Amino acid sequence: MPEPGTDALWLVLIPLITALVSFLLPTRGGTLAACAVVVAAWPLARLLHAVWHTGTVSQHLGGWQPPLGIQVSANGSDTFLLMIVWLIGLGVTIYAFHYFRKKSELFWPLWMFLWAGLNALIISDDLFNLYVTMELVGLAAVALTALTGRAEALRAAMRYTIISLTGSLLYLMGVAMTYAAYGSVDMETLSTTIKPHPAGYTALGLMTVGLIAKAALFPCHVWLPPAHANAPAPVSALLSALVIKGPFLILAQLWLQVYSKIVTPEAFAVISFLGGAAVLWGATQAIVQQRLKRLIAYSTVAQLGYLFLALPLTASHPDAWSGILILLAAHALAKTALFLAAGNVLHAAGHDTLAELKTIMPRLPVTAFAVALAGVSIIGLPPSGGFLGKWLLIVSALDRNALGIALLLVIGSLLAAIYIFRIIALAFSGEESTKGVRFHQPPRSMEWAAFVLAFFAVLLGLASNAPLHLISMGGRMAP
Amino acid sequence: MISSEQLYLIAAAALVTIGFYAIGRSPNLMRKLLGINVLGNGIFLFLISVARPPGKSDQSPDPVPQAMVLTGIVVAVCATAFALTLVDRYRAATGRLTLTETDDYA
Amino acid sequence: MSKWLTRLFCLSLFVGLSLALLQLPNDDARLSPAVTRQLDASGVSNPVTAVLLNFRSYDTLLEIAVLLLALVGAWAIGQPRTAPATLDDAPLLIVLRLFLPPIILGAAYFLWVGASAPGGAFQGGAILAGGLILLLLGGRSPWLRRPLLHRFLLILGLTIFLMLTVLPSFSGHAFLQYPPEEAKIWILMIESAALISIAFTLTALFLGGPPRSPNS
Repeated sequence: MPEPGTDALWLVLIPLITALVSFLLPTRGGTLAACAVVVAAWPLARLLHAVWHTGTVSQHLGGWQPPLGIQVSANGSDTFLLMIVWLIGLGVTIYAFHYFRKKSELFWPLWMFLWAGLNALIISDDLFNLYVTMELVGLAAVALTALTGRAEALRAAMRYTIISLTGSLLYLMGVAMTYAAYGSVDMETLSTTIKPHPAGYTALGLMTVGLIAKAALFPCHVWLPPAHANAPAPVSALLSALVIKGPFLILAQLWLQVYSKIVTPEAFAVISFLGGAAVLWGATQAIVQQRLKRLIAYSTVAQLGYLFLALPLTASHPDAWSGILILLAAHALAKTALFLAAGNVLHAAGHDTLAELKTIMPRLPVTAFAVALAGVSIIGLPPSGGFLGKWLLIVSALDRNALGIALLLVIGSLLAAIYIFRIIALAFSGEESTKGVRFHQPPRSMEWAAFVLAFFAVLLGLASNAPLHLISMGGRMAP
Repeated sequence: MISSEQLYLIAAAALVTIGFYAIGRSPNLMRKLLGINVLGNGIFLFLISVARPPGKSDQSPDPVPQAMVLTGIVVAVCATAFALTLVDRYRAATGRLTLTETDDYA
Repeated sequence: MSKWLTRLFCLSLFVGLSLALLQLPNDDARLSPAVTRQLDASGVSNPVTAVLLNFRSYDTLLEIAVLLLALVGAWAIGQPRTAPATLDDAPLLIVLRLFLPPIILGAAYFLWVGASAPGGAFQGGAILAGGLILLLLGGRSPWLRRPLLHRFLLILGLTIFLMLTVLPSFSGHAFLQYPPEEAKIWILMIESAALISIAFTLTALFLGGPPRSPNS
């Protein structure tokens, strides 16, 4: 019987194997990917069972003890994230199966590489290994962004490439300096040996700047809206829901665990401020957009801001970290649903201008309800996952007298309400008379994929006990 | 005055700075890619100098940073090759080798 | 205005970075002793190869995945390329006849010697790629006319690596845990397969886009 530590790595190996086979047999890509998702449920379930009962599972790859070897591990938070990635992967795979049909065969190996990279990123406990996983994710993401081949997509992908590569290299410089100063790249070892040192501060600073650029935190967010808006719908979903979260998770681990002894409260204040700025800027820009996908992309900028805004709270309140993760997951599910819904609109009408929504939505009831449910979570209305995440954060903020953070959380919800209600009003006010308007019914599974994911975003808030218990297993920020 | 180790470190810092400047200030995409490569090479130079054995002992150089450099070079080559393909496709689609400053707002 | 701001910023970046780097401890052994202690168990005597292919082999596995990913990405977005036409150029033929055998031997040599001296799959793969590119430029690249074989050669390295990653887990060991007595053979197998894939991947990246068969 294989030990539980191996289950986590199967979530990396299964997508890699599938990527190879779908590259060898391009016409079977969709079927192979669907099989991979189904097969991956087994190690994921075993991992969940193991973590639920014992807290953290880990493995020393090659049998070599860190810091010489590389360790991968999954605690409750990691397992929760792996499950969210899997769930979204399932929805996107079903959707993309019909969206691409037989075109863009290379989407499938690229998506499998992306999935492998994301899972590898979540379970990795090694700073240099994280660099390689970020490159895996980054290259796949950029290639997927440019998939349509249109000029705007290529331009957005080009900008994304430059920023992604530069950010990764700045991170790598930080890793190199960390090794030079502290003699290891293993995160567990480092969290005990790191002491204040100019090289340490510089290393953390470089890594932070690189990760902020890759996570599109204000003011390095400019590349995100064009990239997410011009990619094919399933790709936009993956980018906004999952890819963008990777650098944030690494930064959180660096600030809260590895370098926690040398991060200053002032630094937390700065990054929290940038998060707040992202919330305000992203939401106000979303309100004035005329195209649906552009609006949703700016919403991502805002929602990501919440995660950084709330970082200072985690030191004193374990609940704040749960809130951040729940918010991250709810956003991932809801944002995927929104982008898939936008894809349905595009498929049906050939464009996604907001003004035209009222002629299209009446004929896509499932999609319309998906948008409504997802919107509820994005705004943060009860009983959705978005509400639960924000509630946990507001409670922690008030408890610590961080009134600014609490206020921004509320203002962000109000602003989100404006742009969400705008979409919903247009979607639900429509007339049936659509003479002469082009309408091409999207396949049922595309509509239902969006709906089910939106439903899960709300379900996260309703059935919150299990996820919250899972997140607390194994020590929230333990490697 | 300056020992050879210190020279390597300063050179690495210089390369990193030059690469960063090129990425930020060059409008031409090829120059940005070259800047990325210079930045990467600065980091690799730094890693190699980290591998230097302590003092004047006869120990062999530290293999871990060397392995990091090897991995880093492969990743950098892949990324550059992919980026060049993207630049080529971009130029074919737009006729330009620069990113326009304003995005199309819908 | 923003030009001078950038220059000022870069200047302070240079100064700050230099100062931070100069203050690094320069008499630290870091992980070197740990490597030396375990070197005999690694199956090779070159410490860099030991780190790359044994102690931190997971990094190398992912890195080979990145290599293949870059190619898949380039094929997904690149413009289709036709292979160059066959050149019946006398000097080129002479160059090919003179250079190819030493290139192939050199690649094999670097692969073999990597166990005890600087060398290995990447170095050998890069050299072999040089030879393949020479063939490509001369229009003698038959692998481009057989897509299935070509793709098989491209994935061979990662495939073998994944197989040897998974194999130890079936007997209760950790992933990538080579049996100590056979470590050298395992490493050689991985490196041989990787060399072929690395060479063909670099050559395909050089082509710059998905190969288009002349008939389509």
